[in-house]
Amino acid sequence: MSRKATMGTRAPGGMGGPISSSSSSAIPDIGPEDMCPVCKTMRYLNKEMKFLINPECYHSMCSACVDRIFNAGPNQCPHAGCHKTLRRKGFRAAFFGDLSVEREVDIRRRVAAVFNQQEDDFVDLQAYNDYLQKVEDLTFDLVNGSDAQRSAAEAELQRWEAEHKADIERNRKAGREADEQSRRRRAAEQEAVRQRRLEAAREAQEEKQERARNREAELESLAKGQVPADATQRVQLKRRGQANRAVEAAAAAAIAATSAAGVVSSGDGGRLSIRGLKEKKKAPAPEGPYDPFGGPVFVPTRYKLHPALRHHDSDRYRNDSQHRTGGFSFDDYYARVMFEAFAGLGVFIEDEKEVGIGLSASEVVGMAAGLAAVSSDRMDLD
Amino acid sequence: MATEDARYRETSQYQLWSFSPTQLAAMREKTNTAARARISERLLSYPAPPTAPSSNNVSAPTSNANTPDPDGNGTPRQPTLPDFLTPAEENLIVNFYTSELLRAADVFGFPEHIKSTGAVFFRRFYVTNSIMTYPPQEIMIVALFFGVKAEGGFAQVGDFVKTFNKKSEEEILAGEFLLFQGLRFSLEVKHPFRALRGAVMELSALGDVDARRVEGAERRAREILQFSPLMTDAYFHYTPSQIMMAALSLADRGLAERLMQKTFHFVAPASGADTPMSGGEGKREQAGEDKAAIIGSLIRDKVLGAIEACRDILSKELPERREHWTNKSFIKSQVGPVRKKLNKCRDPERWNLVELQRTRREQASKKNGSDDEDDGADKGKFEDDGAVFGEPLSARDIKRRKVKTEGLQDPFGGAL
Amino acid sequence: MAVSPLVTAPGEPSQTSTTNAAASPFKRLPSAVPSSSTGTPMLLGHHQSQNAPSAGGGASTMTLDPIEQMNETEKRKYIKGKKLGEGTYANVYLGHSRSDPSVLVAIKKIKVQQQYRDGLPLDAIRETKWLRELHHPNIISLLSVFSSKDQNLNLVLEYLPLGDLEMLIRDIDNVTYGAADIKAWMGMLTRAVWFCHDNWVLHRDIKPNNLLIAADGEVKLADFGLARGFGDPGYKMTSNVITRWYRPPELLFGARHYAGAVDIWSVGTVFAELILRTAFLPGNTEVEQIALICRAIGTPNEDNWPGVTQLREYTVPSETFPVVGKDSYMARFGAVGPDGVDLLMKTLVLDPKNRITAKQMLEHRWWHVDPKPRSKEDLPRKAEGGDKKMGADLKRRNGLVEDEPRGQKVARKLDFGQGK
Repeated sequence: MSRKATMGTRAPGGMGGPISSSSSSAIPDIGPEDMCPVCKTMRYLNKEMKFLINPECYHSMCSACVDRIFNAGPNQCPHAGCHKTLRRKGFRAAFFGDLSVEREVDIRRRVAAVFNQQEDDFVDLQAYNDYLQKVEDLTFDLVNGSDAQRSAAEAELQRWEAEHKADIERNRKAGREADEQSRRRRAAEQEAVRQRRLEAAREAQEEKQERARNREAELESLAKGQVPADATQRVQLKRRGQANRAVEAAAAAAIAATSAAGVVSSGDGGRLSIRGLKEKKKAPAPEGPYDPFGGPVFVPTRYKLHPALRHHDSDRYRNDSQHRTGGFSFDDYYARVMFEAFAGLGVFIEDEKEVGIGLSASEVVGMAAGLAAVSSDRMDLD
Repeated sequence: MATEDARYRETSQYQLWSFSPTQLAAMREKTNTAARARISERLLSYPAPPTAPSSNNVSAPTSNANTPDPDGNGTPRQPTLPDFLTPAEENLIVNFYTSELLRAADVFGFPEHIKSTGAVFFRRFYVTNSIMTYPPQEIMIVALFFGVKAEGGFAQVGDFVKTFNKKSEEEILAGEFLLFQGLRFSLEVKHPFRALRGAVMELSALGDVDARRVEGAERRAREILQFSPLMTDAYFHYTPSQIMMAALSLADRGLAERLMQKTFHFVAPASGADTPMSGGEGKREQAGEDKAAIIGSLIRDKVLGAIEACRDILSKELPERREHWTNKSFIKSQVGPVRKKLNKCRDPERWNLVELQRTRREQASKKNGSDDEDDGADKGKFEDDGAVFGEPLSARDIKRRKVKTEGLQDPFGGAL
Repeated sequence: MAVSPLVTAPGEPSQTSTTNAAASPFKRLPSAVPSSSTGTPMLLGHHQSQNAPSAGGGASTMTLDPIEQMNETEKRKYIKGKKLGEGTYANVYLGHSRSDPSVLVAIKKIKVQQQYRDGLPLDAIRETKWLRELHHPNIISLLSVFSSKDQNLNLVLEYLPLGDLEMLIRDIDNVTYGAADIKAWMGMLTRAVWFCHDNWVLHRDIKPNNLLIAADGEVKLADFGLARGFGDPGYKMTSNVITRWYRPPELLFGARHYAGAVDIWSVGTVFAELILRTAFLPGNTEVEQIALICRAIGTPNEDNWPGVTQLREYTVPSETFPVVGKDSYMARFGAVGPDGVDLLMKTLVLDPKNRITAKQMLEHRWWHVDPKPRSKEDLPRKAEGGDKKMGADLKRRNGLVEDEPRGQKVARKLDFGQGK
């Protein structure tokens, strides 16, 4: 049998050429029937039957067929209608059951090898997003596009690779290093965790003993009629706090050691390695003084609360002992009635809700909230 | 900045239950239409008499909602549809029963905020549900009952059974969850009563107003507030303080104006007058003050406008109208015909609340285990509409229901 | 997003034409309402062709009321996941927002369809009512309410995965904390109570068990099942509220007219518990509770609390104790410093009239002296193996990335090439 020395339509560079449209629309799944489409052998005849695919056309066949057809050299794909020339060494097992997924993953891998910039290579979010969009568009064309789109995309891929050879190489190296980093960091963290646990256990033990000792001391001093020093309680808590801090410091040191390479990692994002945009400064939030109220406090603007506010109906309860003794607060009550008298006076429902015509209830709320912000500014000036 | 108004805008009353008049009308229209559609479907889905056209026209014989077949012994395979209520007629019924609800609440001796909450619940329910779907005379009782609970009181079902002359507690409780849902699960109703107290206190503190006059105004205003806003759509279109001011204005216009003047009075800081709305600490620039003065007076005028408009609404249902709503000839001539119409067009599946609840509970317990949808399986996609409220009832189910003749005779319950 | 039509059991001719419509209620919404002037529905022809409607045949095309539509919309915003807890009163499920699966929620399904004697249970009503109105960072957020298929009440709450304060307080072996932590927690609790009172709501069940911890360490007040609005003068309220250990003396003595001071007392006892790491006044009965208060704080009498003997359930043990002074408090609670002790004492004043208010608490100087309150991310957390980092790790592996706010928004970039 003579070998068919056919020339495949191989594009220069890259692993596989463009896949012909006929095959891309007819990529079969490896069905559960487990029958080789070429030799029609059923699985029950050969339990260990393996299916291989060739990325040229993603047609699958059993390994026996591969051996039989391609051992002697390159040959035409045995699937009906597919005229691609395949080589023995191109065959491999598919990872995914759905071959279209397999194909797409292969394509993505190829693309990612060329377009391997990271977020911190970009100055602003828009630029990064544009890049990602471009990559996706390219990938889409490669996966789903027509012949023309595919070849255009392939050409673009080649062009980019040629143009950015140096960058690509650099990024690849950086990627490898980052992986190494996170591996090391993870190990360090686990070590720190173990240390902390040991330390905490040790400390707890010590504390128990300390407490026991203190109790004895207290009892003794009580027996002697002395007031126990208040220092003991404070000391205990302080010790706990100190010990805590010491352990944390140790853990932090361990982590710091492994990140000496200086790869920015915001927070403890060891796993996801989200590095953020380039040049984004992660400055610690400026620590202002603690505000116990957590924000502005409501102060009435339309009225004032003053002792002259009185009402006989409510006041007659002022002298009722049940009210007084139970702690009922007339101040609260008066504040409330005054508030209710004036709250909402400047809320114009018809106007505010009309703005939300045609919107859902939640959208109306959103708009009303916006209105509230605007009108409350106005109100302040009143 | 948390001003009084901003605070009000955070309430569920503002967010979920306040509408412009146009919106409210549109919602009622939509409710009415949806009810017509559903009831029509329901009525038409009952099996027509199978073969003999002259057979008994009992298509769903044991249903307590009579399927209308006005043409007599089943000639048409398809029953004709009844006349449905118009939104205006629905409104009449709502108002009538609101008045009944308030009267019942007086019998119980409930305080004003409980009565009003019950009434507001009732009116809110019938914005998104139709009178044709759920019987107002039952919902009225549930609204009052639920109102007591929502206001922190304790409602004894037994008392309600007695007062409303019901057969069982189930009849009171059957509509409760339905009502809860119809209220979109928001139960806090803001009333104008405390606001009235506050306004009166502020007036009294002015020092130059006759105490008797204030007392009289408060009494009248309170009387108005316990009736008029509830018999109209005031709660939907105005805030409690605006409603209160409108009532106060109706009671004593002069006092109301005095109060508004005090509240929105803008005084140049130089005078040092201690008015709440005075714009400054005396440090603002003149231009800023002028601007503030203009805005201040604009706001004031707008508020006055709102109060006037609310006043108009309230004046249509002053407390003197209580007699009108209980007047026998009025009821006979206006309410009666609508009731008759309602008899024919009500929702056969939902009219009987007790049955409805029982059936839904049965179905819910049949699906036991499926109410625990574990592991994120989103069964929600596959429900059909009917399944939102339990399985759709088949004609068989309807047949199985017992006839409740007592309920039928006087669909609006006995006299209170 | 298209909803795939359900393929129902074949063979029901009456169902085929309605199946598609039924499977996607969204199709119902705008167009399904036939608004012809006569009111005859468009399905007229369809029904005529039936001989007998099969089960669900007619009704499965039921038009929804607007309220039912609204409910359905709400319901579909969330996807319910695994069960987190189960009880006779309610089940709790983990869930997430449909539009943003990283937003986790807890769906509390309250079984209201059980046959309660007096209808819907009061605490379900109260909880729904107050959570709907109160929105504050230190109060658990109610994101949505809807009714489920089986007519039960579903509250969609924010998901607070780190347990409650009680767990932290009691876990002596694994959790350690100091004055800065206590100050931070107390700040959060006080703010929550202040906000409630500012909106004239009494919580009436404050205890460490009801203080839940969010993923970022923020403490949130939960469980409004006993809450109610402030009372008006002359309006009686029940004295049988607040868990006994945290209940103030005026309630133990049966007062029917009270105010926010009752919550403040609870806050004080929680404060004490945070310091002591055990309950401050753990009485087994109401009588014992009073006795403990007398011993630890002082016996109420007409001198320190005029009128107290008139309260209807006033009763004190015969052995009386004087009001305890600062030295004693410093001995036990000195860990929070003299200002902290001062604040604590003010919350434990016997006469509610003289007890500090929530607002005044936030104006106290303790918040501004050393140590500064710990920032919430650094607060101690529920320990698994004694280490918060480990706990966070385990959570992340389960797919919950709540510790990393950025992580929630960035999809993991799948590695197609390098790492393989």
